[in-house]
Amino acid sequence: MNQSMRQIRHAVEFTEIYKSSSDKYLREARCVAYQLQHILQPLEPEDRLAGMMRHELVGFSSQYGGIYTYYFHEPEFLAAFQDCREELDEPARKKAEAALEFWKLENTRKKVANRFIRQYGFEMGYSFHSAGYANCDCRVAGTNVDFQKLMDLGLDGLDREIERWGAQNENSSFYQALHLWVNAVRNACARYAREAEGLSEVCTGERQARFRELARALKNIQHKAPETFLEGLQLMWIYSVCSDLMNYGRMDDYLGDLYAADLQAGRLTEEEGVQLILGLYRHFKTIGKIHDCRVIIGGVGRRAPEHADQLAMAFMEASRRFKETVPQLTLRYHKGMSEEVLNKAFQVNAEGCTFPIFYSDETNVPAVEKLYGIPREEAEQYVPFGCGEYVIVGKSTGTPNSGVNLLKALEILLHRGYDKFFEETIETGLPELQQYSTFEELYEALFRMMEPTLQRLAVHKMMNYQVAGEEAGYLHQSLLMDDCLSRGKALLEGGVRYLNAASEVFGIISAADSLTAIKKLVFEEKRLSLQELVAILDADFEGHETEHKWMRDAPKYGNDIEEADEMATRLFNDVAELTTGCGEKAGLNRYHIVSVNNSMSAEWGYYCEASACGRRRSAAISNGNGPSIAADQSGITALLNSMAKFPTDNHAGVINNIRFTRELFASSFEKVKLLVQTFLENNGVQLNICAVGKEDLENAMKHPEQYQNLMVRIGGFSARFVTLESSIQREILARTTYEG
Amino acid sequence: MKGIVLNIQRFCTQDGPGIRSTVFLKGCNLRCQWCHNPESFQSALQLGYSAQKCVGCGGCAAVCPQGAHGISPEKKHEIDFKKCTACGKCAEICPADALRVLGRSMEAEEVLAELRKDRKFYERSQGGVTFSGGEATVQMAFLLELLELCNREGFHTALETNGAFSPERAAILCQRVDLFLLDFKLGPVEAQKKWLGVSGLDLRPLLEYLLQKDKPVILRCPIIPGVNDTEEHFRQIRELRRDFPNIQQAEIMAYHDTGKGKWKEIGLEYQLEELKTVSAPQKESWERQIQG
Repeated sequence: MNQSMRQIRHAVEFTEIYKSSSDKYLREARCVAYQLQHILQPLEPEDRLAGMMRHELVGFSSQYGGIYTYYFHEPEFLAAFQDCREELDEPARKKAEAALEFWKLENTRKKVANRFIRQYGFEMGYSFHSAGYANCDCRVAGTNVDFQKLMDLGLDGLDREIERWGAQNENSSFYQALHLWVNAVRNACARYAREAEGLSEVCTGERQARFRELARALKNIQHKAPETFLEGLQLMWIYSVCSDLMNYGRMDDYLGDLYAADLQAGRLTEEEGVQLILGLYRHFKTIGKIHDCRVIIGGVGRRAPEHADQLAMAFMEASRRFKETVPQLTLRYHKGMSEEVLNKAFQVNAEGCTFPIFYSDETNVPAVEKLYGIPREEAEQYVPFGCGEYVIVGKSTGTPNSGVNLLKALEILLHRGYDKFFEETIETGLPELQQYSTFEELYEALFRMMEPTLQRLAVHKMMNYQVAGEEAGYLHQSLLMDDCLSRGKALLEGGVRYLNAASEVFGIISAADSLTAIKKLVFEEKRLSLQELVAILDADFEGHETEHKWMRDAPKYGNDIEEADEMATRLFNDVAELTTGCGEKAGLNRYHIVSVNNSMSAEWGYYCEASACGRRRSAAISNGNGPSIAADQSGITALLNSMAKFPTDNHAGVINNIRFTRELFASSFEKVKLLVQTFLENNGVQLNICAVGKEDLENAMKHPEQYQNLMVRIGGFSARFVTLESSIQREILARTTYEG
Repeated sequence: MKGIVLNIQRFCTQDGPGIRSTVFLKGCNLRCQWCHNPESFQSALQLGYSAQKCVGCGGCAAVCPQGAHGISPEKKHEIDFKKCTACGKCAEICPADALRVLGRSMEAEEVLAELRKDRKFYERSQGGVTFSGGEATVQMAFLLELLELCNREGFHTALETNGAFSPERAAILCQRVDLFLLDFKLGPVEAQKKWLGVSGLDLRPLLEYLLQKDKPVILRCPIIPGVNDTEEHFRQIRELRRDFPNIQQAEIMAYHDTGKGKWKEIGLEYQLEELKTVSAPQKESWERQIQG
């Protein structure tokens, strides 16, 4: 059967199963069980661990490709249908047509859109390719389930838990569906056990022994809690693949005991441990979720830190050898942590791996405690997922579904609501430029303008959760998230302990630097009127070179200059406060900003007019809490000091990018280490380190074939430099490299 | 008091222990022909001009009160540096950033305020502040005030110097400097006049005094091919190390040509035009030669 035919048949069968259940929990369990039979991919002779999946045109997933719950790829469906239409008989064709019409309306994203339209009369923009400064998405992304519970209980143990709580809470279809879900995972293990046995029969030597061992592990974990590192790793992976989970939490913590016990008993060598991890990494690469795929190591609040550290060393060694964009290996730093682990982290970074990323427990644990109003022991279980949004393992959701571009917002304010790039009116009722007699009036107008839009984003976010909750129980998450089982409630229906969310801000530093320049040149020194300044921006500085220089020379964030840094922290705090307030009104437990951008900061910049920070039309905007591109010219300590000035307890994650030459790492390893430690111990939140010289980047643009392995950290993810679009390459090149 | 500061460079990793800020003071009593900071020769503010950046707009000529700038019809920019008073009017309006004023007049307290910003880095890494130049002792009174302020702050202080100052000054400096980074360029028998612009420079008396005062020294040895890359010179370095146990280490500062363009920027001619940056293996070979 050809591919298109198979896809259409799958869609039709999936639709029939979906329609046959009226109970949403059982429907989900049956749909997932069905789709797992089809989307799981065969075990390959090179595999060290079992489990790979490929999505279909319709299905269930929490965050697949920016669509969610019951997703539907309409264009791809149409293409496949077109392709095999003639080969289908009349009844099959009718069924396919019916499925198409059904999913056009039944897919969850469409339901959210309809709900929003009912309330506001229009649909929100879904991408930065459209006019305006705000957009939103639909997904339930990044929730970190409690894998420790999975390790402790195993699948049979989970069944017993379901029974126990079901008995207490008047057995409902929710609990029944959870059993079905556990069984679906068990069946996946059984299927792969058979495949591993099959491969062991056709392979020889070491590979044969390996597949025998894997088959044994897959049999054991169908029922028992894992007893070896291999079993633990396999169980975590198969659960993730079946669930389409993309962030894996504190792996050194929940697998550390198994790993250490294996080493202790002589069942495993460190090298074999690294090889198993590399096997997992190869699966990560196949899935290729470079904006997700977080693996966390280190930090306070681990059960057995010594065991965990042993495994953390193996993860870092695997990342050092792997040199790929995934996983986003993340080390939580704290005072008094193992020096060996810390040194290894710097050595791996020094090789240009861009990993591990550093997060400061010194800063973040108390900040998370205060931000979410949770006990210290819960705050200790924070993890950054995806590009770097905080969630509490097993206890909170934290999806970032909306994007707000502050630089674009300022541009629209300065054009009285008009998006000049897209030639579209976005906001109305804004003052003429000459009506602003003070900077404060301008600044306040910006926030007055943004408030209704930000409120709509928060409402959209809440609807996103509500509709998803109405559609599905999110069984794979509900099972491993507090307090779903004990409350008898699914994740998004009151089950999860903290229903949090995040809103991603873009261009915050470009906007702050622009405001600093406007304040200084227009309102303080009165060198230009606001109208003149906007006219110069509209001309993209052409014919206004001297004024362009004034704007470039105005104080910039990232140089440890109070004037510029105060504007950045003020803007950050005000947008943080406004966002939090909007979340409260929308009924979210906590809704905070994150400043953790991926390559969208360069891409969205393309659609932005010139700005008063001196940035030309369509140039990249600042990334995360990094400076305006190449505006940091006062040394690395000045940049780090600027970065450490923001409050740490009013946001759900920021990122700070810095770049050193490899030579600096090589010649001053200890000093670089102390530099980073000082930052992380003094209000620094996190640090993305990229060890690469400007010359390397220039050469890589000229001779990409020689630089296939050159890794760069962009913001919330890493990339192979040569695979990036040229606009993003140019932005990376323009960033400051510190030499010491 | 005020002094002329060329630059305050933060996170310096090569100017003493730990993470340091280095204050470059303008003015020098030597004229080393290989100098990569020739803009620090004169103490006064001065104009720097980068021909590659210039777009020939003529804005500078229009605002210059001294008539120091001339733009030819072919947009060729000529500067009469003798006329220039470094008032900065041209640099302020230059759209291409081709013009800049080198040096800044600063109060000692202003300098200290900058240095304080990195206190936590010094403390965590057991670093501190290094004074360099030019030759920092050329602005002696300003330097002493800065050192005193740093002492009060508890900052570790290092002085990067050519040692060309009087014993009286050495005595005062010893009270305020924790570590001396002493440049050894040419011994007293070598061609000092030709290459340094002075003669009779002998570091031994100063080293004797520093030894007496128990002051640690890092000997910094610029090695310039064709000037001092001789066995005779390396022997002198070895002897200094042998004779003065307070020399903690000797560092080879191999010639590099990154300062070449700066000479032109301030209207000076560079004598070592043909010289190329020294290779890493060559530097390593020199490092071996000063051992033992």
